Amino acid sequence: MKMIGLSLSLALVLSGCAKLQIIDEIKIVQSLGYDMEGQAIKGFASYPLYKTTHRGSPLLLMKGQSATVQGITASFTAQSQFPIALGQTRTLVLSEDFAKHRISELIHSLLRDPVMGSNTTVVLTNQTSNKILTHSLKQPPYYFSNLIEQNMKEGNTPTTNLNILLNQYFGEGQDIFLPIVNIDPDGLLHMDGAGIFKREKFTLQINRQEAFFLKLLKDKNLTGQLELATGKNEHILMNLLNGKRNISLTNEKAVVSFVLHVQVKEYPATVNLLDNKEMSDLKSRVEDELQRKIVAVIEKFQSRNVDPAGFGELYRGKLKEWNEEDFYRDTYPKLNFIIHTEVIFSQSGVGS
Amino acid sequence: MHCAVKENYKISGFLVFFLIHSTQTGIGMLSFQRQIIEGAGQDSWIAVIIAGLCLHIVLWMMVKILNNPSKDIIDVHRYCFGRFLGNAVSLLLIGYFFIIALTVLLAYINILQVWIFPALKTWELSLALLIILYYLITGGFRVLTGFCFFSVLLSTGLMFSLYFPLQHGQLNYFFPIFNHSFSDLLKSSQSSSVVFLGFESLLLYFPFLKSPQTNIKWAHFALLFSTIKYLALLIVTLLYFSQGHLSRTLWPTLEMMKIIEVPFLERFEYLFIFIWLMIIIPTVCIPLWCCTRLTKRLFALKPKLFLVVVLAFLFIAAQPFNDQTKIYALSRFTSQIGIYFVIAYIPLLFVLYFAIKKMKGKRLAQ
Repeated sequence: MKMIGLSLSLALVLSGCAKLQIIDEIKIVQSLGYDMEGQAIKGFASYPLYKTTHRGSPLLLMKGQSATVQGITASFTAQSQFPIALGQTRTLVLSEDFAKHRISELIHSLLRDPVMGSNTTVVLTNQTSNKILTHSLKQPPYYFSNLIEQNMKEGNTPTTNLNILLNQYFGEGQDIFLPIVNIDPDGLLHMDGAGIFKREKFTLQINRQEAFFLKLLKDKNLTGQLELATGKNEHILMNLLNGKRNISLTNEKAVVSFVLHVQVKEYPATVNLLDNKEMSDLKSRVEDELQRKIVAVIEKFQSRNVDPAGFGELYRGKLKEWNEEDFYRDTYPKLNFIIHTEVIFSQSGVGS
Repeated sequence: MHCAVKENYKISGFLVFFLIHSTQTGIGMLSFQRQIIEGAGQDSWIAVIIAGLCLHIVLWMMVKILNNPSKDIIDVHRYCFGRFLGNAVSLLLIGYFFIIALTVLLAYINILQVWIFPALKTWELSLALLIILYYLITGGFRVLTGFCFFSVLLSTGLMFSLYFPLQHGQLNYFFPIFNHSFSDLLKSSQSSSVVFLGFESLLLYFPFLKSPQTNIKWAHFALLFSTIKYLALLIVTLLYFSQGHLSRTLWPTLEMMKIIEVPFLERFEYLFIFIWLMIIIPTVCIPLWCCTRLTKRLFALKPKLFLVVVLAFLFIAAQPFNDQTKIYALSRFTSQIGIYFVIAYIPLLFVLYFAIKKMKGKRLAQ
């Protein structure tokens, strides 16, 4: 009994060694941004204020400069009265310039970092990350990360996070893509296409619609909104409800077939959707257009020899012997893609 | 035989399930995937099955040696090598179990330092842990068994957290199946048998079991359960990581826990690491208990006194391991010895024991 008492009291004394961190006495970083200035890395971090009766913006920005990727936290510490906590960082914004030069260092440091969560997303911007983060300061906390998450879940942005990024970078047969965020001339932050890398080389930038087709080729959940031209001055707008993708591979061709259930939001006034013939006519026009567009995107990938959709990975899983280098040198550029699309107009609203 | 254990110190036979299972699932569960895939890549789940099945044979051999009448390894050694040489061989086992305890302790401290408390010193953490260990081991074997029960409950409960990384898995990472050679598979099986180590402490606590003959099936169930657990964990890991990423990840299980996000807890892996303390405690306690048991049987020393000596040694021995490369070197060394002990030494002893028994039997008959 005496021993138990002694052990317990010692355990209690020792638990005092644990590091105590009170929420308003640390700076919890929400987003990190990286820019280049000459050879130096400029870093930015936005964090919320909990304690002070600070009016105006709920978020503040720290700026730092260093020669190494992780080094910017040192300069954050130098300007902060509280320790910096990076565990809740949800977004990393990279300027195009930074991504071109230092992305492999960033990825390697993220691989070793125990603090950063796997749900963190890395995004690119054609502007500076300073500008993006400064913009997000005016918004409520977590606005920026919610914007990205919402667009991946419901919108047209292909899904990625830190785990997918590391899998793409270190795994064989797939290339990194990062969503792009920009501020438009009206001063609004919005998702804008994606940047694609060959290993660590920034190779190709695709626009918003092309990014949506990449999402169709890659994502588990097929969602988003699709606007297509179905003829001269004729447009159709569809909400993708759910869908199925099936990919079958042979040595010289890859057949990708889609079955997409859509909700038709807007369609040409001349078409009567309740009429069977007119409906199937519109449907086949939509399918043809969709097919043409997807093929065009894949051909764009092939011409730059990038593989964000991970066809190489699918081939690796299919073949007993597979070599990444040979595949991208010999097979991939010549690979014949055949796209089948079937669009099902599940819903077309409550009027006719 | 020499080691009659008093009836009131014995445990129910079926509790061997918890003893074996909890000593097998420990620190290895957090990091074994990386070593395993070095050989057979995405096929290494086959290697886990092979290793699990092979160890059933080893377990069967161990029980055959120890059973009928029930005895421990010290008696077996005396029987095979004579009293003096047998004791000398048993003495080596003290070192073996000590190194196992040291490796687990250091590996856990290393995880705490890397993941949570980068600035905390090894001596602070090891002192805190050693106090818990002392408290538990002085409770005796029955208390340890009780603790093993909770450890099994916790580690089984934590398996459900694999649901979340599984949702992020890519089925394609699992394919192609069977594109590795047999020697690759063998290499992976060897490294996967490391994670099953720990059940060899049965060699010492076997006499503590009530009616071992009828209850030894529980030992096999425990081994089977461990195999299933490791298999499930490995399959989820293979689906979650691409091979290139996995081969660069030091603690794949913890890395997978980083994806879990619940509204009241942003980072689940912290909770996971602390709960894991409960799971590794039996894997340190049982080997240390084996050390004290060995000295008690060999030298008739007072176990409580010797326990303090062992813990003090453990504390001192833990101090020089201040960087990761030394800890890796130690765990590589330990797993090598462990494998040779289980895969080579136990079968050898099995053959020797029955050969000698036959010879002695013949002599008696004449």
